[in-house]
Amino acid sequence: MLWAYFYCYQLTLDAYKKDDGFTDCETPAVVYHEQGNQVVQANSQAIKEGVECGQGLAQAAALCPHVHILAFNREAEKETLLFLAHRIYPLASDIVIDSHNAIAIRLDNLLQYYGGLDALWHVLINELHSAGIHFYFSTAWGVEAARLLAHNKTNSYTDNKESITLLLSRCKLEQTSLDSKTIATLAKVGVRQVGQLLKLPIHELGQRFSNDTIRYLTALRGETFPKYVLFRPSISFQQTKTLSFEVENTQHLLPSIKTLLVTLEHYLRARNLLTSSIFFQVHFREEEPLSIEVNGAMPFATQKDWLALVELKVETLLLPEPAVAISLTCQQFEPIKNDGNDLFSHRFTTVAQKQLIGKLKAKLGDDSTLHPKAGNSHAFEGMTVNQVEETTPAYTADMAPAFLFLQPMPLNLATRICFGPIRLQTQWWSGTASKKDYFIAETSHGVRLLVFKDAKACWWTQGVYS
Amino acid sequence: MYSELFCQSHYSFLTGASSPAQLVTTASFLGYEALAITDECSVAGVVRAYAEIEQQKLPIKLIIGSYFRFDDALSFVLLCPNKAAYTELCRIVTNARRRSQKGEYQLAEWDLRTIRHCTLIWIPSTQEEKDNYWATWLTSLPNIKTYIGAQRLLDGYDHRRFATYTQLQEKFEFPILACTGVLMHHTDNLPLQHVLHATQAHTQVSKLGRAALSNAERSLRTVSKLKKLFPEKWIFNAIDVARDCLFSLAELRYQYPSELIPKGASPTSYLRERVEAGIKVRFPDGLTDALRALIEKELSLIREQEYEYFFLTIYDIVQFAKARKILYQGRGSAANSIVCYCLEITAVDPRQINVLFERFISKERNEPPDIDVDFEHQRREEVIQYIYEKYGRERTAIASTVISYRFKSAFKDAGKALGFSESQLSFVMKQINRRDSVIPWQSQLANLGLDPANERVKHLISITEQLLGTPRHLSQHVGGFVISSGPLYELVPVENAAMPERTIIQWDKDDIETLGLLKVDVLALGMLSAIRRTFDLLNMQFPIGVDIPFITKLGDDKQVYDMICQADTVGVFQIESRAQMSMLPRLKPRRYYDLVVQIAIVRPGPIQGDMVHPYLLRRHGKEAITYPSEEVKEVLSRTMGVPIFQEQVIKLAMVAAGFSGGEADQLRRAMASWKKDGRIFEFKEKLIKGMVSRGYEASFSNNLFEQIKGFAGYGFPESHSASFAVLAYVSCWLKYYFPVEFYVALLNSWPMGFYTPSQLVLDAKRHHVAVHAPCVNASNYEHLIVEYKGEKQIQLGLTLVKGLSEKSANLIVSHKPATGYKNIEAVRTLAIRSDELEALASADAFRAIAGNRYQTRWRLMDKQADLPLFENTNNADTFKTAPSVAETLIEDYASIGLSVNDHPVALLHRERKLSFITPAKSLLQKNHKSIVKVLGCVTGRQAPSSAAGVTFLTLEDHTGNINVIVWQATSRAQHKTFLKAKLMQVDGIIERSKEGVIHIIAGKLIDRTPWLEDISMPSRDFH
Repeated sequence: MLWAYFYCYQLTLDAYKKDDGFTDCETPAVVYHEQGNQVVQANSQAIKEGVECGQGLAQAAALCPHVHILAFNREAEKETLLFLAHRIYPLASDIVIDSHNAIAIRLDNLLQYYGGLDALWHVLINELHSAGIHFYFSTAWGVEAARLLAHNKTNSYTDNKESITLLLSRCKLEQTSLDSKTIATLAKVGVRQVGQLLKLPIHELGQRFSNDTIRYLTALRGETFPKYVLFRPSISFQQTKTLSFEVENTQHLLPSIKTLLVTLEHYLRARNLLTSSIFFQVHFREEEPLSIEVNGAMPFATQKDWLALVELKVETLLLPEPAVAISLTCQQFEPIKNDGNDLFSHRFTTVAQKQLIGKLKAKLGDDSTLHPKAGNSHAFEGMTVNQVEETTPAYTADMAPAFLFLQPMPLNLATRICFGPIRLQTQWWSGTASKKDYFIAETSHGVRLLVFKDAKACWWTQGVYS
Repeated sequence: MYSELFCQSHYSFLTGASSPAQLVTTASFLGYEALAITDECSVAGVVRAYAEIEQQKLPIKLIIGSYFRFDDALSFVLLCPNKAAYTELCRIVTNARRRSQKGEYQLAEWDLRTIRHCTLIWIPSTQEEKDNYWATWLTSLPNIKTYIGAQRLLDGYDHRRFATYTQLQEKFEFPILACTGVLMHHTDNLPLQHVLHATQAHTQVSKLGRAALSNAERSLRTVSKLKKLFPEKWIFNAIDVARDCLFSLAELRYQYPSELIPKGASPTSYLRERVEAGIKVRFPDGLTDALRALIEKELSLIREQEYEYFFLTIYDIVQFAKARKILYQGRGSAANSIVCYCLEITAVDPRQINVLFERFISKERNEPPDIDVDFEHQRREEVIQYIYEKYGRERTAIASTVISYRFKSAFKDAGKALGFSESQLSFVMKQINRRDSVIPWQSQLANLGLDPANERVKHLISITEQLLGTPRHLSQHVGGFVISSGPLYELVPVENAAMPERTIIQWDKDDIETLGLLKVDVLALGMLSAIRRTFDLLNMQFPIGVDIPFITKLGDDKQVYDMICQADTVGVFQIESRAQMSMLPRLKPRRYYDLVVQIAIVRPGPIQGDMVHPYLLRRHGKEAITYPSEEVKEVLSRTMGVPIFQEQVIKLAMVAAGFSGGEADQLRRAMASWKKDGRIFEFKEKLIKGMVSRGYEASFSNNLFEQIKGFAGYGFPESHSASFAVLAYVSCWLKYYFPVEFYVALLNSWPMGFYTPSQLVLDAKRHHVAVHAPCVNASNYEHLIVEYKGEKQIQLGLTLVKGLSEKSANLIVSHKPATGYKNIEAVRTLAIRSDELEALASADAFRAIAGNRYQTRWRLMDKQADLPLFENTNNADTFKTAPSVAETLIEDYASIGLSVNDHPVALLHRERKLSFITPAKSLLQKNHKSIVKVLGCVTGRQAPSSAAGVTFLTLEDHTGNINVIVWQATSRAQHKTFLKAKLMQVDGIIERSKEGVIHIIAGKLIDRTPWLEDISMPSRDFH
């Protein structure tokens, strides 16, 4: 067997660069892994400034104050890799997604179709380069050996066994897939290179190490071939895009949405499919993701058609905080049918009530339908609130008037105070601080009013009781 | 007139929004007749209120009380009309607090049923059914005088409250009195109260909703307004209840435990007896007339002030320590008296320092005497347990420390409550440079994305400022014990501390001082452990007992002072830090009092006051010693006209600026707390004007004020310095004459002091002491002295082996055969955990029996060797790999934190041609201002706030330490190396002072870390 292994060491940076016209030589940029507090990817400009993978964010920022920082997201990398696998799938059948950032391709069963290793290699490399991906690569008799050589940045392809053995023996143990504990144990007895390890008698190793370790070593030597799960193209579309900067203005989301829709269009066209429903999620640093469902009156595939609908939706979109990523999912597909697709057939029957509300919401905003509720506030303005959600806890609103004026009106009628005062001194945090003494006053006609006296001792009517 | 009987200060943590002082001051201003401070299940704030009233002579009566919540429907206030009621309240608070974990309380019905003396003000809940239930219950307690506390809060529910009060009064005949339930002294504090409430509820102010106060009515309101709000009768009832409350904190009398005095003796006679017995020990040749007169004077002063019990309590504790051979040393204002010397509380011979006892116990200022006793840090717990056992847990507790909001916590909590995101707050907090004296933090916000013109940011700034100094919770004082004759909870409530089995009282040291209670400070000091261990080692070898008095009696030793002048002081007490070591060759101490000055001079006070340089010039005769006046001469003659000690600046304020005794006392207190409240600036004008009007130069008075600021928070009085100097001298004496014993004791007492074991071992080797690495056959658990060819050497103990437990180490030592272990399997049979065996292998502790580290580990890794049949299989011979010298060095550092064989820099010198590098010890031969290249492991990066951007690097090579000064411009230009390098080459210029102090002024910094790959040296970064 002969396997090629591609270790894509800066997938996040590559995806970022591709989508945003970001050029490597301009801005230093790093990918930061929050859990491990370390830089995991750095572009050439950042490396020039002294930033290295494995450094903490503080050190990286101290070395390169203007560094652009992207958050590491394993799932996003995985998606990029899956997209890459989809792209290569027409060229090679046996593909193994080896981790969130590496891909292995079996070569030996393809050689006959391409007329030799060189030709096959060029086809694969061209495709990967056109996808804009940086990678280290190698070939070997199995995925394990090829992975080790690629991680060692061998960057050569060969099917010569002696050469592969020689290259393997020079690798450091840290680059193997042995667990860190085993590597540390071996280092403690001075074994640091693969060559040293492979020379040790297997029975002596067997007395000291686990079966998994022995299995890995035999696979590395090409004596056994573990089973690999081969890639199969998925039946739904899902892709996330990390935004290159935190977006506050919803209009700035559109270029990224467009990129996602272009990818969707590629996906649909390759499969001869259409869709009538797509689903966006806008991700934030602290808030829960915001979900947006966009339904088309009829199925289509082109990004142009979808973008027109999405733009409507985005017009009314309000972001609770700057967005950091956006994802697009599509799970319902329909095959392209030419028959009966005329302009007027079934036009009105498919539009259900919910679709109508959906369209209204797309045009008028999500808050176009409201429920009145008792609010959790001392202020009369907040005692009754209109809310979209129905989850607010019940409070009494016994002092709230039936009708509350949008703007208070000067009190001109002769009235008699029958309840009060209620002194309110809240909302200082919202910049609308005021001190008001509220009363319930009754007119000579028996109408009860909510009135208040402001700081200048002027009297105002705020509402009317039923 | 009006009396407010329900008022919570900010000692009701995260609820009250004003200090007790603000509350009493405002209440007095508003014309209240009385104010009750009723914090929730606490009396923590009452002393502050009492002190403010006394200090400002406010015409208002303070009533002591506390507010309690029993369940959601029963809450009430207990007031203390008399001392019996106060004792009862303390008992109830203590019981409720002791039932719960730290910071919480749990009241029981039983607590209420036992009330006999307190007045109860019930705050009905307006839940009719529950109120009726509790009203019936309260009427079943005939001994309690119960009132209904009527609140009028203008929140829309007053009509419901008033209806409830009237109904309950009619049905159960409880009288009604007016109260507010004050939470703030002024309506302006409403936002602060909202923020505290939100912090307590872990939410934002905007999300508090109806749970928040709807207005600022729970503040101190004017009497005229209250008269409009309440029926007159209710107000009169409040006034009447207040008038019945006659208890004052001034009535509290502290009773020392009586068992200290033998039957038939009085405190005075017993103290005299003990002093006379001490005289025979301390002065075997008899007393001079002058000393006898001094003793009599001190004793009479003690009798006048009735401090006999205090001295005898400490005497009792130190006698226990002495009997247990726990080394101790007293210090503090009263500790350096001749009476304390005779009572063996201190080893400072008063003949050596010319200090006057009156300065320590001041009748005029009516301060309690201050004696702190340091004990060996590894054995202080024995002393604490002795105190608990002797006096019982009921009569003993530790003073509390009030933990208050500091900048970071204030900014964070205010920000969170105002709805700023945590990530933004933590970013801003990290970026703010609080040391920037030019741009205040408020202005720095603009550059960090927070617009100061924005309303929310304005609130953030103002609330952060208000929060600073607001108490958050009570914590445990480092060692201040309060011991009383009866149960302590009759004097002050006691609550649980975070540490199990520890209890604290609700007052801190300032409160204790205000009420004239006495506390005994039982502190821990590492150097005492080291010195006692050295004495033990010496006393095993020599017939003459060596102890601190033995050494001090020998007088000033020229050779020891020679060593000190050369700054050869690694490991000794106090004068071992880099700053102290740089000063030693300049100051050149030659006698005991020089050390007293030396210890005090390298402190922020003298440095910020610019006093160091003038002192050095005068000491070396380069500047005439002059005094601006005779009064100043009296104060400063001991220190050549330059104020060095805290006592001197306070005394100067009195003699030169005309401060009265009371004002000087306030100044001293302001110095201690200026970072919290900034009160010290109130004294600036008075001090400077006072001095200028008396003919002193403005620069002198300005410097004095700067120095007062420098002392604040880092106060270092002469009395402390005098005690520390004794230990500094003793440790130097031991280091000079018995280095092996000293290093062994020091290493066995670690962690302590400034240096790591690695640095101490390097220093020992520089003093030609051979050191051996840990070994299963040669080591004990602790470090040992071994003799080899008649030479004393150090055998490091198994304690250094990282990952080896004390239990396993002792097992190895106790089961060691007479001829030592023969092979690794013999150690394996002790059933020691495999990771601990690996730790021993890593430390190369098997080298005597199992080959090199790699071979040992290969053998330990063999799982078959664990099986009995394979026990003696030996396959180590098949494994030939051996570690290189560099690998050995790396493993040495990783496993025991040091290497006795080599130093990384020595290794580099051997492996590379580094003739261009000057080792530390050769720097002495280099000329001043010459260019040198030095190389060393970065063991310290210090950027003191007083040094304006300069960083002091310490590089360590195999011959010593190299002090490098990096100017800000240099570090900025080469920040990559400056921040990253573990091994650094510095090309720079030698600066050598006349006294021989060498610094390298860094020019070029080169990161040589790649030369070492993964050697990890501990680095102390940026203190």
